[in-house]
Amino acid sequence: MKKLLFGVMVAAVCISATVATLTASATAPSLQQQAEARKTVTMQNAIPVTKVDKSAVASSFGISAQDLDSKSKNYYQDSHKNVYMIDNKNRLSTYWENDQNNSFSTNSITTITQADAEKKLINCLSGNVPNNKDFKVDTCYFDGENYNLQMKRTINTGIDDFVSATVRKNGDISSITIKYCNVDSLHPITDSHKKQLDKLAQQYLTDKQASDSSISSAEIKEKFYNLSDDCSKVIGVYTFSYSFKSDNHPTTFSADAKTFEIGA
Amino acid sequence: MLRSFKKLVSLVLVLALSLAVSLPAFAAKPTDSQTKDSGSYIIKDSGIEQPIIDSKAQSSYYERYMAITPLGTSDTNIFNNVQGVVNRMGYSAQSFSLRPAIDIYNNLPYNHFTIIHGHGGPGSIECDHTSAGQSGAWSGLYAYPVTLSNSKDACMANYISNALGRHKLIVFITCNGAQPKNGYSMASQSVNKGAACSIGFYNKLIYGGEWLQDFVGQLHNRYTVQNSINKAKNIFNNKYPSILESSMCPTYSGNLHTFGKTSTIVRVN
Repeated sequence: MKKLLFGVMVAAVCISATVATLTASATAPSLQQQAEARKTVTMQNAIPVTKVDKSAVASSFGISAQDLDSKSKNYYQDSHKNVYMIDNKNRLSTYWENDQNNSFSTNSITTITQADAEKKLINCLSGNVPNNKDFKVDTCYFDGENYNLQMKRTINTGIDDFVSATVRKNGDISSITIKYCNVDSLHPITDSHKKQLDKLAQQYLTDKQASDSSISSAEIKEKFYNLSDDCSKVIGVYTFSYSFKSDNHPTTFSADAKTFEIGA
Repeated sequence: MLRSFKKLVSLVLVLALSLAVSLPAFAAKPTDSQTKDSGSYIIKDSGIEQPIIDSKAQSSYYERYMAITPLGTSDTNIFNNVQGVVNRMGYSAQSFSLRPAIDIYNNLPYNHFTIIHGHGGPGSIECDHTSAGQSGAWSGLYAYPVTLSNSKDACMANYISNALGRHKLIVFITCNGAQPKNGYSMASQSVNKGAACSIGFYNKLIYGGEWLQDFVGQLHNRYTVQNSINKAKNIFNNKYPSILESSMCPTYSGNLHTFGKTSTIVRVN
């Protein structure tokens, strides 16, 4: 009898838990819904934002709507007309400062160090980018006007989230672009995926050499792996370096890039 | 006697006629400043090739898009788009494709805005490749002092001071255009020789044409060179996020280098 009662109780708990989960998943907004319903964006502080049309963003930045990428994103502006692009997983993918009215350029004064610029950028990612604390500065180049910062959050060899940002020497963040690899424990990129993609890249090189006899040697220079936004495809981005023989000069070099995809 | 007199008169008449024809030509020979501004004369004896005059040209500001390697379909479209925008920026935009290095050397001093697109290496560019590949003979335009190996090669170090002084901007859409060899890169030597501003890439380069298109679009919006670079970076990164990590990406930190006055506004109308 006790065993039966215990069994019933366990079953009841399990059913309750399942129902609760199902109810939660039915009522909790999807990431896409969350992305579309944003009222604020956190850039150190919660900034009130309004959803805007893609063409309005393009217009205010003096570009064509075609110059914005084709992926569906949610576009927001704050009261200063700064633009925030939120992707389908409710993550910040792009930030553009509206600099129509600022006094940027040679008049701005250096007030921050590289360390300040890095700190400011990391703070701005907080609340908008998952695992933002794991990002490490990869490179930083000061061009006389701006700190051009790049940060990485490495998952595995060739797999990482990547941030490219511009921070002005007066400390204002001018732009942020974030490329997500979309990899997590549920959606890994395996060694098998990598090998399949590497094979495609190698075949491309072989074919290219066969079709152009002037190439004396060719190699894969860089490779990066990502999942597509819907996690259905594994994408390999490769850069290639070539050397050529010349009739009247020493060996010369060139480069190109190619993307390959396979099912995840 | 009479016959000799007639001959003399004929000779005098012929001489007078010749003088009448020649004098206006001498009188019209341009001063240096006229040559710079009008672009209306071809100076053959200097070895410098002036722009060929197009009577329909609406501007005395000259832009040359120098494709030094045959352009593929994508880059040909980019070329057409860029030249259309440059025309609207107030320039007489003309093509100068697959010319030997010496022709490029001779033409550069007459331009106000130049784009050089094709293969390059540290301190040099490879001109007049006749095939999309890089085999065969080609001529080199070198930034640094060098003993030239053939008559089609040329060396920017040989320019006199301020020879490129008309230029508002020279852009090198080539690999290593900002990487020096023997102390000089193509982009830095351009400014050394008088260009107000130049842009080159330190590393190898991919998607250079795509970046150029975004950049020129912002120059057209009347932004300074520096602001146009910043805005083009935003647009480019948004369009091509998958290649951001490559050291060959135009917007990769430390790849793009500017020289000279980046507060220059290139648009002239």
